[in-house]
Amino acid sequence: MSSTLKRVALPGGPSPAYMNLLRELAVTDYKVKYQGSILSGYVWSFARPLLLFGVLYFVFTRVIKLGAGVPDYALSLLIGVVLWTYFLDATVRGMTSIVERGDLIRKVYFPRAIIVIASSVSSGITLALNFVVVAVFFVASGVTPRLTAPLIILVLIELYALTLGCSFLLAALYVRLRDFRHIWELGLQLLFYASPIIYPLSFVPERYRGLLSLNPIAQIVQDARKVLLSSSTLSTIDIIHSPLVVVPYAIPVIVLLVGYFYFDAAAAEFAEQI
Amino acid sequence: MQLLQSLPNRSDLASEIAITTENLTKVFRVPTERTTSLKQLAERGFRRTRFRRFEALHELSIEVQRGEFFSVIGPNGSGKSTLLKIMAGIYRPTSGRVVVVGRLSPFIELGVGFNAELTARENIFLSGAILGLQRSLIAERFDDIVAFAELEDFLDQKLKNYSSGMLVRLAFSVAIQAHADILLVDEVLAVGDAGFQEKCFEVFRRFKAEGRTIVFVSHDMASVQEFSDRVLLLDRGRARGVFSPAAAAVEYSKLNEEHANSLLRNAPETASSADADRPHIASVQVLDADGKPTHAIQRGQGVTVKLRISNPRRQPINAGVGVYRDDGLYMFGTNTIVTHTSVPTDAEIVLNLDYEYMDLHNGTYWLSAGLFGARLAVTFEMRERVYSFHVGQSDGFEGVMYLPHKWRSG
Repeated sequence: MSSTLKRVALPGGPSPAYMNLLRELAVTDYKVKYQGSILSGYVWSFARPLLLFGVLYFVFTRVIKLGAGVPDYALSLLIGVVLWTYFLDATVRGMTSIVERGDLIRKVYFPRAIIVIASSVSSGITLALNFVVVAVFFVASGVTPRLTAPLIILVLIELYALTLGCSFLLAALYVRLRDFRHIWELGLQLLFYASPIIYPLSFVPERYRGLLSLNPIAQIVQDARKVLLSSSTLSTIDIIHSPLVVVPYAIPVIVLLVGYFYFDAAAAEFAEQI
Repeated sequence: MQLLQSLPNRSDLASEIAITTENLTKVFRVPTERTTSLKQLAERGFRRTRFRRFEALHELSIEVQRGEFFSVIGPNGSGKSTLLKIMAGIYRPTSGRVVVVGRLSPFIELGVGFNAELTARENIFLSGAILGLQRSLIAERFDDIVAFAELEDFLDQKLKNYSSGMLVRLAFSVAIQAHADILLVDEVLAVGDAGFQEKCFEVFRRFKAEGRTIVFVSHDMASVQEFSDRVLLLDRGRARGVFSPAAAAVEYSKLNEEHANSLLRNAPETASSADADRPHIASVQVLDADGKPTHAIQRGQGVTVKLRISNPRRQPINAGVGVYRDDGLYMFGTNTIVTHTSVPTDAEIVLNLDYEYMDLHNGTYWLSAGLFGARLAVTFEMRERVYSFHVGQSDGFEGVMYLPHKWRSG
């Protein structure tokens, strides 16, 4: 037997209301994350990537001296850490967003995707603030960003597509199987070391570079460094000279489409499964 | 005219039906073993997960008229909330159809999405957004919302410091701003003090006058009776019918009694054999002045409670009867010990308890009956909620009981 739920809605649709909801949820997420902390939330949102950056910088310039000979290693490292922190933070929070908003889902109807998008936007606020830190470091190091710097917007759009796609997929899977939290955390660790965040790609033996460059995180981090910092950064285009070069750019689009449609199909059952 | 604009086309308005359900069925598949971890998944292997089917709604077909106050009542687990959630789009029907014509307010419960860590001010905007209200609109009506909730002095306090009464007031004040011509309301009046409840009723009267359609879920017969145009009575997912409010009150009492009696009948099966010949209550009935069983009485009328007791071992026993309001308030209790009544020690006993006047207010009430030994410390049997009846009230007295009184001058 077929089942239908016919809704005769207003022409023009309720999209402004949904945009409004999206904004409120995103801002609430952000505010609540740092509620009850002694320092203001903004300070804490800088603290995590800065601490990671500080530790890595010390280890790789003073202890192991991996970055000693690399030009602008500090800025390069910082860009990588900031972008990675966003991906990690947004996907982990996106994954749990549906389950954590269970009360809302059981009691109110609105497109469920709004919750996941709001969560990724909320992490995006932190990313935007972290870019202020990056700018301060540029000034402090006396480095002028390249003229191609505005292209960073395209790189960020790609990162956002990848993040949102992963979040959709993970959020829907997490409703069914809570183990995905641990699986994803393992995956993130692998991905972190499989991406040239702490080490320069030029240190990787040449025969592995092609393989590594297929990873969209590697491509995003390298492209970000290339447009902001140095034209000599090895990006995917410089490494792969076959049609395979489109792979890392296609992955975010595919992940976003697959993630969204999987999420959309699963969403009808969320209210009963949470 | 405003209604016309908010509707997609005239043919929908011509039907004058706001919500239609056709053969609506909802089956929940409750996993008997829930698999949320990989370990369990591995242990279970490739066997299919076992599910217990639970039919929350069965082939329900109803029509809610435009501008109607339509109530849904029924005991717990009868499918009231499931029906509302399907109308709201939260659950997908298993089969059948729901057609909603018009703008529907998505709130089912008050205070959904409130965040305890944020201030009342912030929560008003958040909650408004969840109800589909624009920020500018909330800003415009902000003072009204706060004034209605009577929370002017607590605006910048975090919600976690609010009492439950304050929370309900705040939630209701935001919820009534919803810009919808169909409202789905679930048990919102269960909480809040009497003064605020009166304000809520005032709002419902206004909504009714404005021609908004309201679907109201409750098990409080009194508020259902006051506002409803029609009442759907649900019993285990099936419609017992759509009634006038007065008829619904009687039908609801009958239904409650059927359930109570089926519990009574089933009870001996669960008792252990050692207790088989313990004294027990075979039946409880409320009889009117003509000696006929009744579920609807007028306030001030006299009634008789008839207890049939089985006492195979002819033990010395005492009996007690308590009257409870639907919300659980204990109204009155009596027993044969406090009244120094001797109960015959026959194997089958009939005890009649005559109430001279049932001076209870409008509402649904329950009887509980108990059997004791020579002292109350020995309980043979305690039957909660064995019989339900409805009291109708046409005088204008208020409160929970009638105090005999007269006015004098001087």
